[in-house]
Amino acid sequence: MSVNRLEGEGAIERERTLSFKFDGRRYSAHPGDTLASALLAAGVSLVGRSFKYHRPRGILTAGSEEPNALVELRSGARREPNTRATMIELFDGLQACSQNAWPSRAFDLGAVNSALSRLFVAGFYYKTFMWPAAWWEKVYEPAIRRVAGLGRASAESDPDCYEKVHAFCDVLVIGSGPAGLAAALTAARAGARIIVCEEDFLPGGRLNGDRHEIDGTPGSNWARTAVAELRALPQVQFMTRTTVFGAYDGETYGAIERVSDHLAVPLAHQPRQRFWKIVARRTVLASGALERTVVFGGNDRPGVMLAAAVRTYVNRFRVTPGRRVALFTTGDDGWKTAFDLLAAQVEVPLIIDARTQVSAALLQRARGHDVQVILGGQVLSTAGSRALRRIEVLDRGGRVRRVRVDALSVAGGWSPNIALATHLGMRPRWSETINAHLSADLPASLCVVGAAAGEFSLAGALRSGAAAGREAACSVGFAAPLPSWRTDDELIDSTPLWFVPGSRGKAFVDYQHDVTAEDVALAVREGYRSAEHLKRYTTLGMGTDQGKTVQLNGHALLAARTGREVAEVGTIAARPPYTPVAIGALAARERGRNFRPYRFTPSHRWAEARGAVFVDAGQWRRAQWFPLPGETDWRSTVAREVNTVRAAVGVCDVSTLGKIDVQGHDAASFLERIYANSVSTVPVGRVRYGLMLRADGMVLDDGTVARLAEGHYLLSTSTAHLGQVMRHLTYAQQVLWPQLDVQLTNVTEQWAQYAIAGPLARTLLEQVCADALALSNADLPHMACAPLRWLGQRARVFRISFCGELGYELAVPARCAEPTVRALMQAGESLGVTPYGTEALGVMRIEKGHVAGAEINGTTTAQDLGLGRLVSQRKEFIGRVLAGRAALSAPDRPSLVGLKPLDPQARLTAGAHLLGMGAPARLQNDQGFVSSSAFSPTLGRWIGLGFLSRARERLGERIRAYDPLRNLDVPVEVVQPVFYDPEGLRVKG
Amino acid sequence: MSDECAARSIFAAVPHTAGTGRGVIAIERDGLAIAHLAARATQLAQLTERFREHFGMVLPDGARRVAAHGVAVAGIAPQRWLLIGEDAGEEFVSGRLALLEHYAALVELSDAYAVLRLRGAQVRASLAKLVPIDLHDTRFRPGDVAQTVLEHMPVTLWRLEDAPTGEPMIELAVGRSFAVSLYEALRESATEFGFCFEPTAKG
Repeated sequence: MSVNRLEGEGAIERERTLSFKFDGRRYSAHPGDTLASALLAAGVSLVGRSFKYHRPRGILTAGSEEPNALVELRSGARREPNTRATMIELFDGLQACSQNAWPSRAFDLGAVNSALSRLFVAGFYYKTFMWPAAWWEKVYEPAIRRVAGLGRASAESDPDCYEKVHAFCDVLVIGSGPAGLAAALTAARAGARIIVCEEDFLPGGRLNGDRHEIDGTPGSNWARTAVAELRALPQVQFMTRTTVFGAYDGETYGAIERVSDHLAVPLAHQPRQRFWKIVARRTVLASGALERTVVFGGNDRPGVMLAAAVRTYVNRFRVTPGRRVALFTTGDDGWKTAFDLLAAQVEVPLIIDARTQVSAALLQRARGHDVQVILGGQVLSTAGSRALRRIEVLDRGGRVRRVRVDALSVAGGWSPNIALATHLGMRPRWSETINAHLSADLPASLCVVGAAAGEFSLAGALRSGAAAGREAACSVGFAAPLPSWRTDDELIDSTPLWFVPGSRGKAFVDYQHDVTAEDVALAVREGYRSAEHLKRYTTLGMGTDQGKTVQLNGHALLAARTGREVAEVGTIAARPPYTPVAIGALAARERGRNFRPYRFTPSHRWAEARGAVFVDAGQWRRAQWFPLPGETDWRSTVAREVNTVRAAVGVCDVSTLGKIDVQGHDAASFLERIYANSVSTVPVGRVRYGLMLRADGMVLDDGTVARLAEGHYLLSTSTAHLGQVMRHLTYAQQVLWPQLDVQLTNVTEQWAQYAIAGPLARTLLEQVCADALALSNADLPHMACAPLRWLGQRARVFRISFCGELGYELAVPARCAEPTVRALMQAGESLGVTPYGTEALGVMRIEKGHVAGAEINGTTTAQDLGLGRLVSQRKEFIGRVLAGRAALSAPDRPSLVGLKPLDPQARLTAGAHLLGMGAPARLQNDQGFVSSSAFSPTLGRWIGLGFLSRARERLGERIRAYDPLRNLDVPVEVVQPVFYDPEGLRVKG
Repeated sequence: MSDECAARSIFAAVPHTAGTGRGVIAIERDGLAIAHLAARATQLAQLTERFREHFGMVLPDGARRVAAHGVAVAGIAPQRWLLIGEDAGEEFVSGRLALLEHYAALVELSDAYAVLRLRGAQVRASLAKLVPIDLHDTRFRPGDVAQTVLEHMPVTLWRLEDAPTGEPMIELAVGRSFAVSLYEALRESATEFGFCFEPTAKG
């Protein structure tokens, strides 16, 4: 089966054989192979079909820049489309399928698109799907969706896990080719803390693909020794299979380590991939260069391969892409491919060099192998239905000859791989010397070396790497001697040939998106002159490969068509990620249950044991209600809880509410500046309601202020607003009034707190702590607080109520939470006590007209909330000035009202719009909205709170609550927002 | 302390091992007395002096932790510290209150935190998956304190002297309500190295 496997040593383990399947057919390969090398070895050159024209496509490269050989890897939940065959490390049992081909890759019906290519030119979508407009959603979009996309994503949940890791180093070296290794060795020997990231599973870069010697040993051996030295150093972290995909602010880089992609399934406790966030004091970018192709007719046919990739397959994988391989080159480097093929006993019938003059040494060597050489020649076209059979060559004399080949290696010159050096917005500059873009305006922390810096010789790469390594080490305080290595001499001359003018057939400037030279010409005819516009109009460079192998040729074509130099046209900015990154890797652990951490109250386990149903309240898990056996409808559970509290007594865990301890000689003065109402005058042992505004005059939060002692207050906040309030107070303390003596401590986590509410609340509490505290109205009136000993601990009781009944809150150290709630339930058993959850709490606060998060939503003022009378006119406080803006007290501004459906059983929904009785449901008739609604078991009907324009004049008016989402239109009466015990007598009971 | 309130470990109901080996060992530091100490305005010098007299330590200026005679103090912000007493009981805070209250606000937080001591060869590798700060031996030294975020959870870390085996020891304090979530994150991150949990450690 391995028709194209060569003899001799490479970087594969010939002794072991792996078995894999491609499109259902079984093949064999060796450890060290990629899927691409294994397919080539088996003589498979057709790997898939292209996106638009369904052209047969093969393997163009040997790296992550591969545009053509995209396959679906694995099956079931692990199926991953668009996987580059050149990056798939072969494992036993691997399964892959070709993409974009039906019924098979050899006979693909979609190839009819190629015949219709006159229709599918650049801008096809923009021009075709414009009219009729009504067709867009019904016809065009569904049709486009059916044919769009590359491959099929698995619809199942990803079974693998991913990790995120934070790493720090003195020097980050990106790439482990000769330049990267030289930099890493130099800096590491000096003692700097180093991370080396290598995309490949085999470090060494071109040293594995080319036949070089360093200090008299083969380059691949030198690389292996260098890596071993680095790995042995404790301050070095050497990571293979790791792609640095993005450069970010703050010397931060993102990298993906493919921990398990080379295995059938990840090992136990190992993620599939790790996302590394690397913060590096210095970075050496040694990402090499990317070889370009030339734009000629049929430059996409399977069998056409970049010349350096051919060398990689021959030297590293011991595979040849064909048995009769021609070379089309624009520089000296390409000739190496011919010689390496010849050394491997592969026939090279022809070398076509677009240059008219080349080094005599090259010519002599070619002649020595009886290879025909055409100088000043160009490949006009290729032929072959599913694989390359023949090329047409135009020689200097204008003659066209046809040559039978089964592979063509193309060396169009090298572009430094500087994507990462442009992620932060640096524009590359054109170099006349190397006819490619180089990085420019680099930050001081980043240095580009080797081929990435245009140093295309091995000696240059090693030299620039070592110099950068030393410089980086020195800059972080390590003295490094400069090593040097002996290498063979190389010829690196090259003259670019961007495109072949007389090309016959489609000549591609973007393989993945099927953009041809003709599309560029069309774009120019339609007025596009900038590289960025060309990109967007033609989709040139917008594939997952970002056009790495041929985009520059497209820009050169644009330059030629618009009569400019390539330098004038410029190039596009590369954006992260450098290669595709799985979203799962970025999410890492933060998915599903771990999307955000849960917070549990101290008696959570007790509530669980009581069968509580929990609800997410921010990060908190709060008991929503406590169903009894036999209760199947949550509404009946909530109704029972409400009725029990109103008639007897209930206990609710309110530990999640924020608690802030405020101390200091200036605590009173500080709080006066914070709260809109007067709070500091509250006597010791008493509690007062407090309203806090933001600087813009909107309400930030409401809560209570308890004065525990002189200069010692305890504030409560809503559960959701604790963080904001703490930040607000800290800002005021540290920035606005640092001269005040105030100390703030967030004590929320210290205390478990239980609301005990209902007409029998005092009776219950007396049963458990009568000996510790007198609870009569005289001793502990409404809005009083007192310390007590409870279960041997310091505890506190607050006589406050949110639900409108006689109520207490008992605060105990968190460790006492479970014994406390158990004691309360036990003591209340004979009283009929019930635990109640947030839902019953919500119902009761709506019955009482207390505002909560739905009303204090960041856009409402004290006046909107009906709390205007609280706002002090006699002091300065945060928010006072801007709360006085005229528009905030305009009569049309919606303010709080109660709403009662005329039909008591009619459901009222939060979010419904308030409209006049006969007014059509249009935005201009909108008069407000329902903010909270509930079925009130106490009143036996639905009730709601809402905001209504000119609310004060409209009590008794009948309007509509219109909810188009739920298709409800309910006539309601505008009422006072207090539905239950409006005199507030019950809390004083 | 009342027996009823003798804390049942926050971690009683979670799995106590993961993976194989002991790359990361988490030890619950239950029974610590913890208080927030915040200097009163203009009283820093007196507080420092009083503190030195009573505890035999200088209040650290910066994110450092010092310890003597079973009491540790960790700087968490300018003029703010966590005071941590080993096995000090309820009187730890109330006992110190009279001593320091003229110079500082001292607020009991013994129940507000869960504290875990982490040790083992892979503590740093495991924490690298969780916290965005550099815990390298030369960057986070014994006695260093850091306040950071661990998967959206605010945490305070301090490094102790290395264990006699040379393994690093880091203590991590988190709000009690987050303890189980944090523990799960820690256990998962350490599974590849082998994780085990040990109940309360003294000293």
